[in-house]
Amino acid sequence: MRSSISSSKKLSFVVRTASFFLALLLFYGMFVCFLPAFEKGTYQGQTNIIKAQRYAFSKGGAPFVVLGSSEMFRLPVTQKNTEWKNLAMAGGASQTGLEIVVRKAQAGEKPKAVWIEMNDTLLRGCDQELLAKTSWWHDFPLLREYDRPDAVVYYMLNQAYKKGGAGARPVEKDNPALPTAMTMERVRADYDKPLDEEKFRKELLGMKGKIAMLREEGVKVFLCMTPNAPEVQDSREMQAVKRICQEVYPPEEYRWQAFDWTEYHTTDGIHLQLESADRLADEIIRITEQEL
Amino acid sequence: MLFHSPEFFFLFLPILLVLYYFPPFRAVQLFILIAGGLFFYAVNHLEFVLLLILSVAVNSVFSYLVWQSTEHRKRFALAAMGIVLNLSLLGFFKYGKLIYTTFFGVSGPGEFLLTLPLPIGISFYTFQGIGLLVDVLRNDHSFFSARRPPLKEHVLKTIFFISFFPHSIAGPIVKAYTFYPQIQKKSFGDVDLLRIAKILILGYFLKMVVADNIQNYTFWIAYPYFLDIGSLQLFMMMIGYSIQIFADFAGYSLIAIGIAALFGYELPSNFNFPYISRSFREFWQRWHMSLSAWLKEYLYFSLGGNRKGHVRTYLNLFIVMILGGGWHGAGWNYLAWGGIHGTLLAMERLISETGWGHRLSQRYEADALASILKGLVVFLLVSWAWLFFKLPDFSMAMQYTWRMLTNWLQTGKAFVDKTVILFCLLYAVPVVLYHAGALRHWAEHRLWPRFEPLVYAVMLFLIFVNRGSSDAFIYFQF
Repeated sequence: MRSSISSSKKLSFVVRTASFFLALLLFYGMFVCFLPAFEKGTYQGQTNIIKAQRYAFSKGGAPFVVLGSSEMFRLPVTQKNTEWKNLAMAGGASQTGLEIVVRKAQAGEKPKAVWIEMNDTLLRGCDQELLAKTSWWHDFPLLREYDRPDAVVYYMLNQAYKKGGAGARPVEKDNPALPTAMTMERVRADYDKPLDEEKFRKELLGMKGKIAMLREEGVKVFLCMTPNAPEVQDSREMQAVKRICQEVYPPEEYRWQAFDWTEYHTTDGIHLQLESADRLADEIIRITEQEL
Repeated sequence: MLFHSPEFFFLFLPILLVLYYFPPFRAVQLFILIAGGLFFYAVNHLEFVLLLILSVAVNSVFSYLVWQSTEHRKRFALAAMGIVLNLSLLGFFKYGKLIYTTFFGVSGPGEFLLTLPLPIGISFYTFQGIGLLVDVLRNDHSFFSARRPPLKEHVLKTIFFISFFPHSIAGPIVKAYTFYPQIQKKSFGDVDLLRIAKILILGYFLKMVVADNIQNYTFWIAYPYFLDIGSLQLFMMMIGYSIQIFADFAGYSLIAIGIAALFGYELPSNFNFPYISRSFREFWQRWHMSLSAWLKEYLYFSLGGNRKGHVRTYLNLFIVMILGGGWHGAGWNYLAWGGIHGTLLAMERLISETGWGHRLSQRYEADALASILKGLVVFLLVSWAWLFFKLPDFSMAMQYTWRMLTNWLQTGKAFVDKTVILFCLLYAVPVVLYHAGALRHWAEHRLWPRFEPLVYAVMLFLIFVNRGSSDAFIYFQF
């Protein structure tokens, strides 16, 4: 089993490999320190982690925060006002962002207002794996998600693409003909299922203490449902969602904000088209400014 | 606890190594590895340790009885009984659900089968047990034809053979006649640490950097997401999955081989640059080699191999591949995957045996362009067949194929995510270089010794800063 390479050659190989490895770590570690704070990851899970870490590891957090799932994820609130932070998690739910905001508030860095998306995505629960990545020991160079080479390469490619003139072009809009009939048929079938009411209620109750804590700290909490297609709004599942939400968080006690869903358009019955997301972001900012 | 989890690498493995090579414990090395193997299995699947022990008991006893017996008919009957018991265990736990739902639907007295979890590694240790019984029965390997050991010694070795943790859960499938002769006292001084370190770095790199990252982009090969995706992205995701499954399983196999070597045991290679294959036959000589060799030796030859005429040969190939597909999972999609490979192998053989096919292949044997084209066709068809492996339903794989062929006009931002395409390509680069290195014999180049430390340093660096997150190996589900 032993190879015929001499011990000195083996040692030389080990020393050279270790030296290259340490040099790479050192140079790369220094390099990432000079990168600006980008938020887009190479896939949605990575973007979620980067957003969460940027917020959790920043000093002071942000005065205004939006929480939710992929439905709120598209809202360009930060692009419109740098005081805003979108902590909605694509593929996730409001609970994850809420937990991060609460931890930050417990550390004395509370926001002024928080918008929480309330819908069936709450059944997904809190993403513990993502939360673990916002622990303090992840806040070291090379351990943070945004220090990963793939995220950095992606950021740099995007910058180069924009410098090459592509950035000057208007942002590509969604196809206004969306959603297709086939997509809507699928969505209809998806939302025609009965809701797991017990689990949903449990998730809602799990959030109650955290929302109460934020309110006690003087944080204004807005609860809302993002505008979806009528097929979703009127579905069996969403009707049950609305009923239980109102039972657990009665409108007379909590600040619910409704939107006129006929004014917004979706790509797939659920997620807003870019233009609609843009308008909804404006609306949320306007309402918040009005009430604070 | 998996090979790439911190508790395995920083706790379990070092403790076991220290105990194993600690001089006063040298006499009980085998017991240490058996205990370690059972502990490793129990951590992953406590409720099925008894099943593993049952499998060990069946195979120990029956192989011993076959070994002891001198009467041919009795030997054959005992081996057959042992094989039937092995297959019954596999059939009950792995195929019970499929068989029951096919014939009786989702309710009735056998409803409990629907919730029965699949014991981890059952396909692997069942095949190893069957291999042991056949080896002892055939008696054509010097180890088994030499002396007959006492029962206690044989049972101990069989427990070790089946429960040795580097290969107990997902292979490589070890043949008894190559493993038993290795069972003896080991010394740390005989371990080639540098060779093992290189194997482990490559294995962990393939798994943690390539497979675990590319899975974030191939994730969309899932119903109904793929329905609205443009052809280009669907095609790239298919290629991406082909790269992912190779990196995941080849990475796992290398780690298993490296860890076994740390304890002084040589496991067989499982992969030999499969994506440079220019024929499906060559592909199966390079892909999951320990399974291919097992199927060839214990199933294909038993069916008559190619000794019973052309038609029977094609049929045998088809049967072996269908069963090989079914071995991977209890689902029609796996049978379809095996059927596709069986058909391709049989067709390839049929073409090469016809006059014009033979002449054509001889004419272009040395042609570089023809070689590249053949390699490309094999790679694309193998990649396409992986769709049946990835998607849980046959019709979904067909829908994916249809979308890939018809969604060419869907090119807008809503249909094609350039990031997915970019990163499928980017994470394919190491696998492409790995295969290119084999084709061009880079390791024999005079400059290789200079570059080799840099290559390993880069892999280590990426394992450290760019590893993906995954809690399983794809082949653990089998």
